[in-house]
Amino acid sequence: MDMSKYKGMFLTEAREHLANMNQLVLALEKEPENRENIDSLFRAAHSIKGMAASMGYEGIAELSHKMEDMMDRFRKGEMSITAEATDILLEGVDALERLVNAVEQDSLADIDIPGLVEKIKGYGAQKAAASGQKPVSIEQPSIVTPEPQAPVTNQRPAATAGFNISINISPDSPAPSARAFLILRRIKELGEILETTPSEADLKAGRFPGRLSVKISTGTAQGKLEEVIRDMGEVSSLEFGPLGEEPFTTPSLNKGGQTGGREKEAGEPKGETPSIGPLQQTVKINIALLDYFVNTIGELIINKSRLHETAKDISSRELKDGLNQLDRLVRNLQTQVMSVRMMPIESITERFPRVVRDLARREGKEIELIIEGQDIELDRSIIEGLGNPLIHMIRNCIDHGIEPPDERRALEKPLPARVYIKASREKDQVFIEVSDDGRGMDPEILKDAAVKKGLITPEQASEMSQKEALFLICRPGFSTAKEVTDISGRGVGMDAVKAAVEPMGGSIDIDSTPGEGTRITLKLPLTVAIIQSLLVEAAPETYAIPISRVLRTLEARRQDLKMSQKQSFIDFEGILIPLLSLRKIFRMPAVPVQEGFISVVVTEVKGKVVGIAVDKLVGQRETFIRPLGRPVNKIAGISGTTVLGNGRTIFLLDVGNLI
Amino acid sequence: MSYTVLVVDDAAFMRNMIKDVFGSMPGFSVVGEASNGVEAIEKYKELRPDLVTMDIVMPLKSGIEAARDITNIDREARIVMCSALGQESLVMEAIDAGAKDFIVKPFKAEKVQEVVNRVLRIKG
Repeated sequence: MDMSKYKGMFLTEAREHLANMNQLVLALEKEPENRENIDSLFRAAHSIKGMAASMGYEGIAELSHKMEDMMDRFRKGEMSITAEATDILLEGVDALERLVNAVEQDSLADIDIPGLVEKIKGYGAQKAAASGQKPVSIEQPSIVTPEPQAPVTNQRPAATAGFNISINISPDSPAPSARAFLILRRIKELGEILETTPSEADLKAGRFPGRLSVKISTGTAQGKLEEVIRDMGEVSSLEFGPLGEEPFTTPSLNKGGQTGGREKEAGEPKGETPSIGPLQQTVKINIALLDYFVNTIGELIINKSRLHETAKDISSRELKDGLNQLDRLVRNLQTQVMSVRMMPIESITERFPRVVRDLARREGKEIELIIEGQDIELDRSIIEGLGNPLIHMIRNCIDHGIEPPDERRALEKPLPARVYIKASREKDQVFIEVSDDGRGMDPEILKDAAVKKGLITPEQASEMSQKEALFLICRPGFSTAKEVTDISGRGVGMDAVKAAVEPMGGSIDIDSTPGEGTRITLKLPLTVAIIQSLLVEAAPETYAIPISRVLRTLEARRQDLKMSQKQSFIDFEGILIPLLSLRKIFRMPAVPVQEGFISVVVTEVKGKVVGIAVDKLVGQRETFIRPLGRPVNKIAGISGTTVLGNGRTIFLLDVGNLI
Repeated sequence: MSYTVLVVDDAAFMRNMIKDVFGSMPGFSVVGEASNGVEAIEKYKELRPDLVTMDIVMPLKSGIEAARDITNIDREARIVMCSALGQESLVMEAIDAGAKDFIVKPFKAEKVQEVVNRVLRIKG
């Protein structure tokens, strides 16, 4: 069978199980007796084993099999979960993750599987020996008995028709005792079983040497019996002999204590039958298909607005009704598709507890991670881009923010230290806050460091507000290389976080109090591709600005402008903010000013509130944004294009990087 | 004459593989899927398939329990257990519960064919 087409599904499902396993082990670290979690972990290892075996990934199958066995012993109460056990389990999960990644890249992972397997088995052996207890045995004593409906007799007259059948099960049968068991059952239908070796109980316990001997009293002809037995499959040889006169023997094969693992609990919760609610009908769909849907809807929106534009000059009731109906349909379709693309933040935050645990251990710090709002949803492409930035921010908290336990005690700060991740939603924006109760950042220290690194001049430093100083950490070159390697070994600084967030139409806010802690807030739009934009004109060009970046629009009177050292300022809610000109930013020629009013878009750039003067505010539109291709995407200040109703293509401005 | 099949496994991945195996066997058509024992029983009642392939370890209700319940509804139910390596005792339990035969993962199409043919020859 061609396995390659299943590879994608294998990877997706295996990773889901592994993420689940990670969570479960961490939960068991806190609550080692939680039966449900133990069962779930067992099932997850089992699933991975099954899939890997089907795909022929033997390393993964073997490792997950051993982990399944280990979990099974926990389930049966033969061992209990200790810190050592969870460490081993986490090691196993990590190894499986690396093996799965290697599968994806068609490469080999450098993992000592036999070594790990020994470790897992070793834990079990040492625990069983140490506790001195035998595995819980639910085995019944093994005696040879015929089936209940047959009378128990000690002797049979030799004249009874029947056979002594010897059945050898094929050595490459994957489940020989089960096969023998099935054959035995089939034979029972044809006569009366007088004796079997091994006994049925032994067979069920897996004590099967490969050959089944059956003494059967039957009127069926040998030929027919042979046909039936061979038909059951996996029979390598078959011998028929006469029934002897020997009395019953009751060989006891119960060799004191060692069970073959007869499992009463077949992995399901005993006793309860959950009430059956309406069963959910779900499908798994390829992400490329979702992207296709969004693109096509975007095209529909563009086409729709062109139709509207054209229809403006045609007075037809039917046309207008048709277009309105079209509007409704496309809007509904869009809502549905966008909702399918939404994923809860949990999909990235679920791996954070593990990251924090490992990092905290490594740094020798005591840290508690609190996550709120995990069910808040974002477009999946935004979620994808957030993973690394968030982890980097958490690392900063742990590496630089949180003090070591001694220092905290001296400062009378609580232990464990806290790192918070809070996600919340307001209208069409999502806020993700990463904060800690550690050292905080001192703006003066940041300014000094920036001056030393040559990023700003001493004059700029002295003019900088406290808030702007905090934003210095986002400057490329602020973090030194040695501080900056992330988990996957690539350099990541706060500038990379900013670069990840802003093109999506998002922004960063930084707040910090020295001695108390730091809070970094990411503000993100709910969706990427179809957003509300503000259209502005800098004649003859029109530009789109994501509404999420617009604080306010206003009309300023010429006479209200203030000048200071060649820089214009206007009043915005009681504060003077610098006024920049979009025309100037894009080096367009100045135009003579006609009216006494200037249209201004107020926005925030690098922590500073600024006003951007434009020729005209055209209006708000729903726009489908297409990303820029190379090399146009290297131009600072623009981050996408959209098509207007009149068919013109215009640029979407990347406000954070205009200046 | 086409035999109808109900495929039960909690991994979508496995269900797809099994469906493909049947897809390459003429005379078979997979008419339903279930991802746990509870759903398996519901689907069995609804579809009354000629054959059921049943995974053993599943959430909500195991394949063994489901096999037992389905066999109680229909003594002639032809259930084939799909087991992973190392689950022999579970397979035997399933056989006691009513399963007619079993196949072990990883599947070979010929093996599936052999088992399925055998099971379908069993008449009431």
